[in-house]
Amino acid sequence: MVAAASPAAAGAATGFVGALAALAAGTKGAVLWIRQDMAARESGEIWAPGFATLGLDPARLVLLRAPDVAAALKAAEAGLSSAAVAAVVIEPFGAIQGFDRIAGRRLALAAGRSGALGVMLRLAPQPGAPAGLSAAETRWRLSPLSSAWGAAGARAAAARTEAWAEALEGWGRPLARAELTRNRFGGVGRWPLAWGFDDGLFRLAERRLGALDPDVRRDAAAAADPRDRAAGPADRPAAAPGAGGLRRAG
Amino acid sequence: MAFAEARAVCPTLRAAPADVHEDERLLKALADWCDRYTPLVALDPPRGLLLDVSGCGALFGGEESLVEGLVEALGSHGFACRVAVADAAGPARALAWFTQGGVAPAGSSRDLVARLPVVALGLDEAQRTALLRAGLKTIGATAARGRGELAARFGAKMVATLDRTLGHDDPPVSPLRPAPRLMVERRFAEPIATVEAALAALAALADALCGRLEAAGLGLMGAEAAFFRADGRVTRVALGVGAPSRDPRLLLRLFRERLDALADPLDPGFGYDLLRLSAQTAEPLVETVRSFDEGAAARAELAELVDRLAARHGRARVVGIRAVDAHRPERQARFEPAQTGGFSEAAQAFERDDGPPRRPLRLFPAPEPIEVVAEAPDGPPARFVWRRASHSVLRAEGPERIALEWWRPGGAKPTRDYFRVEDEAGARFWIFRDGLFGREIEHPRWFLHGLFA
Repeated sequence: MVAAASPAAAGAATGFVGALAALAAGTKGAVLWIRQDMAARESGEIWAPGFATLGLDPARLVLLRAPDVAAALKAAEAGLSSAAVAAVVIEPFGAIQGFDRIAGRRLALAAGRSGALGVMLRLAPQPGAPAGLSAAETRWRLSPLSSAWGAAGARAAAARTEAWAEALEGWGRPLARAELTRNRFGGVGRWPLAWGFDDGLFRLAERRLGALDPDVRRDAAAAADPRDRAAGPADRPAAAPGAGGLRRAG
Repeated sequence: MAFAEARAVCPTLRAAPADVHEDERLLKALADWCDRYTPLVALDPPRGLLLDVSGCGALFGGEESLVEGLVEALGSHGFACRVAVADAAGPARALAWFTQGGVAPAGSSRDLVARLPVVALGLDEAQRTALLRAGLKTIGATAARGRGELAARFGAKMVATLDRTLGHDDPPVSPLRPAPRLMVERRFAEPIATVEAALAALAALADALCGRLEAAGLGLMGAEAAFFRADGRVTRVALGVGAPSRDPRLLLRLFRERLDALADPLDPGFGYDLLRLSAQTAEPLVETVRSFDEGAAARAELAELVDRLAARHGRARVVGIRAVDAHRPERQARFEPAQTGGFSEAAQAFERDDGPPRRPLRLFPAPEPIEVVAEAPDGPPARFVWRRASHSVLRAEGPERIALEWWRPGGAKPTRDYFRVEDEAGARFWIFRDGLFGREIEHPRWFLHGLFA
């Protein structure tokens, strides 16, 4: 379960989920992206050129436009049970009616059997999480992070008036602040993350001035991808089913 | 006869306004029902049906018993009908309307039609009167005149009508539904009243159909199951697959998905007396040795999943993405039904450039208007309001000028200047100014088009 902290954070949350799906899909698996009809109007349709840059091949993306939550959940279960699908993303809209504990558990079981990654992406967060979400193994909250994160504030302010070249500096790789608000396997925390679109790995974003404590960095890398892929090549095949890892369902 | 006159003869006569649309709907429903005799059923409005029963008689114990059964079955539903079978559509039509009907012996229909009065030609009042004035009372007498003579006096259209009615000219029946490539069906003497039993029968039909497909070296692309209810209602369930297939289990599984997702579930009512499974479209399918390539197996698995999802949710809802060479960003990625294979062939079509992302992850199908404070004429926005929330821009990249296709119909659209901007919270947006300031438009409007990670 990945939620956007605010409507403007929809991009950051989508990037996080897209990057996770790209990691899970590797070079072979397909990604089933299920979105409810209204979600596209509210937060925009996923757009292939952007995903291509992120490292997720649009040719391996199958999009299902579900009319309602029930259809989305049904399709997600079918997708998670299929051996060809490496990741299923569910993007519901509004209050998720009918997403009870049983539905959440079913998804978790299907994901556990096949080893596929199941993520629910909530772009327009609403107070009160559905009961089914308690089956999710981890819950993330994404908010955007300024490119100038950590840099002197004066410089950011100056960017507006200075020459173009100066202003462009810092508009770099995707950055986001990921907050782990629930974790069935360990602690929670929040980390600034950067997605390396050229090597397809998450990195702990470093402050411009001064680096973080090395311990924190290692923890953050593990939390971002507990299958310890952060250190491995992007095209490594998905972990074997049953390996104790981050398998989100819902 | 006027209504008053008719009521004088029969005082209990009641009048009801004609409902043309309801009649048409009823005729269509009847045509659907007649589908059980032949796949080629055409409407002959306003009150006729045309069935091409060539070769179908044998399945019903001869054409006589076919007609008998048809009249009896329709009669039990409360319809009075007259049926004529003839060598061609034209004569059959004339015989049905102007004689007692029945089966005309092969080769004799032309003589039978020749005896009919000229009314049977179905001409308009003026032409009919003209024919009668010329002393031509029967179709035979008319046909005996030279064609040139008739055409000179009554027009070429009348001659064409004459030829059609006599069967000289037999245009093909244009059926209500396209005839399937292959079909299998099963009739039940005693209607089956449960959905489970119907599905079991469907499984047997799927086996039979796939056997026949195999013998023909075909795989089906589209299938249709028709459930004929004893009371005349016909439910048709159609589905399509992405790649030619003749696997009965897959077919049955897809039908189950489809039936599960039906808005109004299958209702057996008094039971089904006929089930039909047809391959609407089929393509050659050569059985290949199972590939040892893992990728092929995964692709097949994915195709099956796509078929299943499409069967349940509808073909148009399961889409793949295909790159389109277009200037306008919203046209660059097109969603196409994944069953057409769009998702496997579009590979590498989107360029993946190094460096910071230049294209957003989410794109609004309709760009959202925003209010912007920007430097004229070409400056990036300094502040904008989107969905009633104000964002001040800390960094911006652009403009990236995208000229829209002026050669497209609908006239030249203004040039768009795209900016990638980041607000104080770090959220990144893709916004554009619609038109060049002062040159194309006096006060160009701004839109928000996408969201970056």
